[in-house]
Amino acid sequence: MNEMMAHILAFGVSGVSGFPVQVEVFSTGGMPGMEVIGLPDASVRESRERVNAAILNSGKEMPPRRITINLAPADTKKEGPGFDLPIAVGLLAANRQIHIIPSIDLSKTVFFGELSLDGRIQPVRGALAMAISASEYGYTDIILPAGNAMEVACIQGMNIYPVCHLKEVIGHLEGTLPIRPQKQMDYEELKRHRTVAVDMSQVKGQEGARRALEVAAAGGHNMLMIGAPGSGKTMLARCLPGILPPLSFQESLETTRIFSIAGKIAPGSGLMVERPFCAPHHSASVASLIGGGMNAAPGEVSLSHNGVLFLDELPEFSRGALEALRQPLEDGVVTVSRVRNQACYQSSFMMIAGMNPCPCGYYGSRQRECRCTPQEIRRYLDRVSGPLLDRIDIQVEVDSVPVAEIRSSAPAESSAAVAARVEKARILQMDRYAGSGFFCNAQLDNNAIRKYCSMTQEAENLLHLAVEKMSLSMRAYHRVIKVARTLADLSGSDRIGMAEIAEAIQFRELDQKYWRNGTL
Amino acid sequence: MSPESRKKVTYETGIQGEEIAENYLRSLGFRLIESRHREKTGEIDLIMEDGTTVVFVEVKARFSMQANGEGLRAVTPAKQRRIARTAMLYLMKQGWLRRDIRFDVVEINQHGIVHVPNAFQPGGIRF
Repeated sequence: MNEMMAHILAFGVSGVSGFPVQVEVFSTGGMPGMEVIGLPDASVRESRERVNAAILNSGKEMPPRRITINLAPADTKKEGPGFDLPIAVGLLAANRQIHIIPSIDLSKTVFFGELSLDGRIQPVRGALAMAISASEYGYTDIILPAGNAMEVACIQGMNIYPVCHLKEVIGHLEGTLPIRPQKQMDYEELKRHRTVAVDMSQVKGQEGARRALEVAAAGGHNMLMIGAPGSGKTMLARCLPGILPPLSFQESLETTRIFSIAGKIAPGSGLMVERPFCAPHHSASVASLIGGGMNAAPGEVSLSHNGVLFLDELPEFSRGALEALRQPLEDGVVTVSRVRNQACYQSSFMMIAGMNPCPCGYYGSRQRECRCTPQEIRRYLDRVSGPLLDRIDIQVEVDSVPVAEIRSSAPAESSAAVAARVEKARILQMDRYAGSGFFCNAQLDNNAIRKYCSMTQEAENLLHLAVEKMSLSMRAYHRVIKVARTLADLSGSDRIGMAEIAEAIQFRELDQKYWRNGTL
Repeated sequence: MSPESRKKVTYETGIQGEEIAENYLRSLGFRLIESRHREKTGEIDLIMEDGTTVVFVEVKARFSMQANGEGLRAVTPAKQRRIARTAMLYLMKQGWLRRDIRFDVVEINQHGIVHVPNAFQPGGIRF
């Protein structure tokens, strides 16, 4: 009679996925006290004080009994305050303070949420990751903080019960005041509200750069802009979010999941629609870019997953930081390893970089004389290594626009017009790669290139000639094909022709001009 | 006052306080099992029963002009551990290790009686 037990399902977060945690509460007579075991961290151990106060403030009692709370599996670290709610429910059930109605199946219901002392339930980090994993494990019901409700509103096939106070949870479990499951939200609904920050119509002249930006956006390619200070590199980059298509549902789930784990979702906001645009300062450390810290948190490359990572003043970044980008650029994933934790994050981003051609900034400019020595220029350019350059598909020179052109009133093409063409090209790609795990041309691997990028005989001949003449690496060769594929998608043609290959090769010429030849 | 006579006064204050506390708790329906139970680890002022729960009561009597709550604060964590250990020995001797138990504190001061049920939960006390 004296020993009582309760089992409640909770979820923990590890990397980008959640794992189920069984909260076992054992209540017995004997020396009164409460113990939490199963590798809890400080915030989990402190939860007993929050839970105690929250239960009393919800009109229930905490009888003086000997209570052991076990978080199984006992060999995995449990972090964060999200276990407050399941522990509270477990305590109430084990002490027979509540009588759960039989229609609620506790073996299929997941609880998470942080408790305030007054019993209110606060949002937690990683709600989306936990909810997705819960649905993958086959659990059907989730009781979670109302502050996280929007974030998980698009998940299909689960009953989601948002709650604000422990009293509501008690009312629901006892059947006195059942909560209605949240209505599932349609992702298309969210997509309708978009705003553009910087419009392309504000960019005067720069025809070459505009075209390059459009191609980069259409295929998700990396891009490097070289030009004098004030020539508009940063402004061009800022136009990018406005011409990129909104995230698809699948992409949004991936990206929002990472933001959710990093705790970067504004409370009350839902799945992300806009592609992320991360612009870390050039003083950024390797760990902040790639991810790291004690619990292997995601870095900028993962936060810009399915979006844009903008690196302004590329040569000013530390060598280590730049070289660390090589692996995520190639594989689209990073594995962050720390002694205690290891996490694998997706990081398939478009890298957009801006740089000056030399320390003074005016080498090759029409506007002003460069006053750097060849050695200085060489040293400056060499900070960007060959292997990194090799991974940049599109290189473009951006020179200052003459005053006459700036003052001309002829409006440039708007973002909306460019975005329409980009979206058309993207839809072609999505259809072509449906079910293969790719979203855009830039993500293709070598096998996929062979499969999807057929070209005419003349195009192939031209490409082989160029590879020999420019001594392109095998990687560069594949990247030229991918850019050509995007160009073909933009013009709506099925096969890659000579014109596309020629333009794609032209996008690689700066590499030759600045880094390889002997004019300096 | 000599040290001996001061000790005596304190002891008498204690006895007096325990009587007041016992009568008060009886009036609430508690049943006395034993008073001033002694083990090698210390003494428990009152052992009572509230329904089926064994209640160990620590009585703090303060008749001088002292602020409310002074007596309650005198039950320090060290004191709590001593009481818990004594209670444990008692429970073992009685064979009551699995009964529901509770620790109450009763303070008696010039304003009246303050009863704190479930005043502390000593947790994992082991021998």
